[in-house]
Amino acid sequence: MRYVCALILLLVMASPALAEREALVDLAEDFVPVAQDFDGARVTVFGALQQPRSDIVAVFEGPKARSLVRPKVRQLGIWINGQPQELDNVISFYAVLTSRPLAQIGKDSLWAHLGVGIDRLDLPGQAGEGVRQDRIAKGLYTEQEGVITIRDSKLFRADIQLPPNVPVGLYTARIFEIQKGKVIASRITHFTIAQVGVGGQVKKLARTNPWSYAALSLALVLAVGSVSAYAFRRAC
Amino acid sequence: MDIYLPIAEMSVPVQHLIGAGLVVGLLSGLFGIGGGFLMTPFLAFMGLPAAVIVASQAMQQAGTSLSGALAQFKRRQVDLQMSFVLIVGSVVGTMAGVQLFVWLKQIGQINLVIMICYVSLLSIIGALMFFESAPRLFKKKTKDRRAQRTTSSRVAAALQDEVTLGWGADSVFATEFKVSNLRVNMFVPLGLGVMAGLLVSLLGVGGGFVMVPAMIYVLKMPPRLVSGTSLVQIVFASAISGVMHCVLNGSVDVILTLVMLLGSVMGVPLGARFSYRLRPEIARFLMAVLILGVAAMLLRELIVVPDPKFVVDIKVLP
Repeated sequence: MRYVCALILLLVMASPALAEREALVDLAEDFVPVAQDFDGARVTVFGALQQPRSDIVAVFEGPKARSLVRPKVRQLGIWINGQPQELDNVISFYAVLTSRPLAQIGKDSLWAHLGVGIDRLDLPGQAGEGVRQDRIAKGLYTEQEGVITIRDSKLFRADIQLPPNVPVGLYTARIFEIQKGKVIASRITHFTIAQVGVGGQVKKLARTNPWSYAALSLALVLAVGSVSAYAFRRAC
Repeated sequence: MDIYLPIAEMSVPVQHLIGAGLVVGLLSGLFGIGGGFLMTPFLAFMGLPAAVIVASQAMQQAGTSLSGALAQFKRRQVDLQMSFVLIVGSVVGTMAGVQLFVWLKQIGQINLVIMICYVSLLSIIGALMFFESAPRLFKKKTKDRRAQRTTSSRVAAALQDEVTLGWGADSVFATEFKVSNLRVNMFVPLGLGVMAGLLVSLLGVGGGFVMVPAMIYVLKMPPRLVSGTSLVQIVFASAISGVMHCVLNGSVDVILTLVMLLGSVMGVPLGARFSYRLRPEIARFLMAVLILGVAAMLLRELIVVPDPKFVVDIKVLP
């Protein structure tokens, strides 16, 4: 609530210039912990409109990734993986949230200029199409039109639901305030999704020191195995 | 309740994992062969990457088999000398298996190879069990089970003094195994060990369902020693395989491993208890049907036109 109050105060103080300027937004959380019981999370973006009756478009992008796409080819009656095609700098997560359908807010040329929309991502060729379909099927590329709520023609709020399979890393949120087909304010902000707790430690150890990770895992496994042999010996 | 798997980077319902582990443990208690080969397909259907499943399961086998091996060891049903030879073989097999795994993963064919191996193995084992058990189901029981057991053990006792001669018993490499009362060419158990090592590294299964028949029919070991001897070998083979998977492959998910292990160690005694109530031919028949069903499901994935028509592998850049 404090943030909202501060933002309203800012809004009141802001001078009404017409040129594109910084949008009045903030993220409710800039760190999303992925703990052992992680089953998705919600990130909230909220702020105030510079001009009444404008629209808000929020674009969320996950960390860049390297992708290998292998077409399935039929050989001897079974489907095997064909020659891989590599794509670098693929966006691992992408979501567009809007206050109204994109077509009503602005023209295609505007969206192409801003890079808004799953179809306008830089994913060339068959491999690009493969990545697009894969991400959409996994719920990692979404377009959610009309989900941003605007209250009293002033305050807006966008809730983005992150699925449990969301990639970890640094996320970028781009927020545009649009009126009559033109961007009147925009802002780029970041948040981080990272593994914490036992899971985070496990991953870190497995990456940085695989021998210790192996020794620790084996010790745990053998301990459980021998304890269970003792605990259940009567049953056998 | 969902549990997040840090290496697989996804969350799965923990009750499914424990349930599957329980069923696998139950089956192994019931039929005496580990149900690991059913776990991999099950987890794959849940959407986990095959590389993580196999590597984590290889590690898990160390715990499950240790539990069983300790029990057998107490009953003195282990031929340690034979276990040692098998272990030497399986070290070679394990190392080769993990290297092969890493190479297949690099060229993007690991899922396919795992699937094909599973379909072939499950079809063969399933068919063998089916044709062995089905006719017996409809036959009248001629002898009481207990009576049968005493006769066979009496026969075994009578033969105890005489050394069984296995393959290549007269060759230069022939070795005498005192506990098993057996003389066999050293390279036969070594070769079997290599095969077991390959199985655990490539497929994440203990390989009991291949090793137990092989040790009875190829090595001609006394059946009462087979299970324990093979379990001791599996403990070492899977421990080495698990460690190598951690180091070379980096896809052992210890959380997945521990959850599956908990399920299976609880399942084994349950299965062992039930096994006295179930006629062995019915048990084997049911198992055969189950195995053939899983094989058919996996085969379907291989031959039906895939949707989507490509495999996408996306790795976030560090």
